[in-house]
Amino acid sequence: MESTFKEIFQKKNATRFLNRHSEIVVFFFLILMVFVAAKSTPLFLKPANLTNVMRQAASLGIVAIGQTIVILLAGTDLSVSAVATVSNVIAAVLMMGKDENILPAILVALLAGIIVGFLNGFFITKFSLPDFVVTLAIYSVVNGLMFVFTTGREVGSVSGKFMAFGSKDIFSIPITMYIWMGLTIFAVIFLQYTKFGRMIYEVGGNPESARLSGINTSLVRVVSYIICGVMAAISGLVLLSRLGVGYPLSGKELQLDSIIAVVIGGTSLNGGRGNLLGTVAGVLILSSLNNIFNLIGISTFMQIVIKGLIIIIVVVLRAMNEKNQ
Amino acid sequence: MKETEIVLEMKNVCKRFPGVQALDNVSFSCMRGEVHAIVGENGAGKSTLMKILSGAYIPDSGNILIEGNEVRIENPHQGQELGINIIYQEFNLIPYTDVAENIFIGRKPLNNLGLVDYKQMYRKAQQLMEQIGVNIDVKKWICELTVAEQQIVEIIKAVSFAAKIVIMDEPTSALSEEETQRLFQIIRKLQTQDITIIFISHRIKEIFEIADRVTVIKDGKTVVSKDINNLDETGLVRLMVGRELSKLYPEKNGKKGELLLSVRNLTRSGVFKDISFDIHRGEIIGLAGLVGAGRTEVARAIFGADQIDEGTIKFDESIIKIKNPKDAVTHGIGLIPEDRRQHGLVLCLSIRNNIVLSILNRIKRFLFTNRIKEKEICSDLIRQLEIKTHSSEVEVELLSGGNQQKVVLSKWLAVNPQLIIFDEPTRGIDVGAKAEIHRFMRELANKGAGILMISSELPEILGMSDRIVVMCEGEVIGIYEGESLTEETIMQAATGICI
Repeated sequence: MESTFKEIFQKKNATRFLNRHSEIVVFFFLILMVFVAAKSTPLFLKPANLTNVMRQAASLGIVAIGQTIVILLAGTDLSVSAVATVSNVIAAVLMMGKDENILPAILVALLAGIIVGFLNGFFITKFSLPDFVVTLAIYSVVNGLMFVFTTGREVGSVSGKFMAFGSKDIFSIPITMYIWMGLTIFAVIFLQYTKFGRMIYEVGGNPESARLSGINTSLVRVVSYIICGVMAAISGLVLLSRLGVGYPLSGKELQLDSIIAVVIGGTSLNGGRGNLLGTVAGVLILSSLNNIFNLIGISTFMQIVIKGLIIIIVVVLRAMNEKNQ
Repeated sequence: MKETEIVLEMKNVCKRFPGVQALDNVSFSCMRGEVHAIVGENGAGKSTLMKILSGAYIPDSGNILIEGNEVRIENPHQGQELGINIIYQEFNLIPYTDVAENIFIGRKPLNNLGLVDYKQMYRKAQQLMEQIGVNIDVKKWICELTVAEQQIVEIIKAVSFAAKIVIMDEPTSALSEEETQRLFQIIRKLQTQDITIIFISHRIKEIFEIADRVTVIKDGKTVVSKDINNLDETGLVRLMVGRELSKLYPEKNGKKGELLLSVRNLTRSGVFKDISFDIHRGEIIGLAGLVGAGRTEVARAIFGADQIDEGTIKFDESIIKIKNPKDAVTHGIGLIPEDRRQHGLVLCLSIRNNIVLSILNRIKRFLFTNRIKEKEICSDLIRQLEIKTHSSEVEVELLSGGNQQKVVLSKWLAVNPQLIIFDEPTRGIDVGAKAEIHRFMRELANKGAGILMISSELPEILGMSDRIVVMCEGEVIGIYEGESLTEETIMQAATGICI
């Protein structure tokens, strides 16, 4: 009798565990995909290629950290690519190839991220505007300004030391990958173990209840958008270390890709559910996908189509899963 | 006997809103550790009073004293700090987070590193659970809990805030009989911890079961504050309504008209099985059973909102297939749902828009709606059902529960239905409006309609029904009428045979 009770108890706990940790499923898909990729072309598993994938993943992944936090609040940040670009361009222009300028360049780039993030959060909370609209508007303004400033061309340049960051590897893994992982670890601790991090889940899960329980929901939202802005700025710097110059189109795909990665990773667009581990898997899946497409030779346009189909499938599967719960 | 001490006093509190004096010199006081019931019709001022206590409104004049000290409560946070916690009908919980996190929302215990101390949090939550005498897994997510369990989490949250006063707004409206008893047990335990409970309810029987004293509010004024021992049920109702409800329920109809609806062997796998009964014109059939017996599901199936796997439905002698609500409406069947706010009304629309929702087809002129006809139909129904409003353009969201229910009813009356299904028609509605709705149901039946009424309130179902179908765990246990319509028989049928 006792043993059957234990059985039932464990089974119930197992289903609960799976339900709450849907990122396990995503990692499973990642492995599946790597397997399929390796089968379809021998080029995929070549170390040089994998390193390349990781580099791509790092810049996307860092943005995705911030995007995850914003989506946990049932919001979206469509301005991330503009922020990455701004950070990229400003840092390049301030550095002008000199090592001594590295620190100020980085600081100003981060400041840009903070300012844009604050503007996003401010307009959204103060005037109760939809996230979508505000971040899109800010994206247009900031991006536009960048184009005006750079007249569409490459500007500035990086110093040798900075470039090293982008191109060097430690144990065959790019430094930028370590930066991404490091930031992810910090973010995981932040979301899971700090009071503020838990408030993000609470405000995302039921904003009205959170408010009535005494939480300053506006503050939580503004800070989250600032974090997202800073992440995007860091990503811009990572891009800079690879490109070597400030380029106004550098962050172009980051906004949609970051949202896709977060959604694939299991975070709900309605807020309150999901975590960064899923996002990590999502980022890796997306980066690998981009890479495979290029290796196999699928045109950019077809890539967009396939990505769109993937989003639909993932979102529908998730909706069906959530319905069953 | 504990030494009693006044823990809360409200003196001459006034609050005016444009056009109405919501509270007019309202005064009452609560002793420490007592259960104090606040009763009154909707619109009497109860919720305004509670909102002032909880900090959502600020009174125009008057004093509030907590433990003898005058206080000003300007926002919910301050109310909490003073030890006042209010549990609303719609709970304030975060669905995809566990019980412990909800209890400690915004104030998690931290360890030396300044990080959330989960071990301590779960331990404290478990302790609070034991204090109340309940056993809910603190690691379960809120969405995994039943409504009754969620309510308990709310109570524990309140208690953990070192509440001196816990205000419960209609706490039993969504609970079964069993769950209500468990709630009362918890309340009594809270009393032993010197916590004062303010209990807002319409359910007279429950008030007599759990309350120590009661304050009646009518038209914004305190009518009386008395010990429950010095009152009886009729006396209390009279005080609330200001008149004697001579007969609690309208007189039943002796005559049965022709057969209107006949369901045979209705089955939906896993939900209900072999449901068979008849409804004649002029009859009110009560559908009784415990929460979860499958009554709402059967009603929804008849209405076409859910599917049926097997069985037949005969309407006016011919077999019909109802695949969706539209079919049902075409045949003249209407459904007044359990959750009027979510399923019966479009809250942000006006009364008029809600009423004409189902008949837009009939009153249109080419492609456009016939505004004049709409207003005609609307004012007619408002008058018939005595909906208290100064205009048909008011958003239904702003109406009281009783008036909202009347709007839902009007919507269906506009369709001219032959059969109306009522699912918990008077839940959360004050005594006065309740009687009006009952009267109206009987009038409809007398005019030739057939009525199927689902209710969890035994007195209501016994008082209103000509015959009662009792369900248990998805099956019909029996159909009772005449002499066998007693509380014991119905209750036994609903519970006795199910284990």
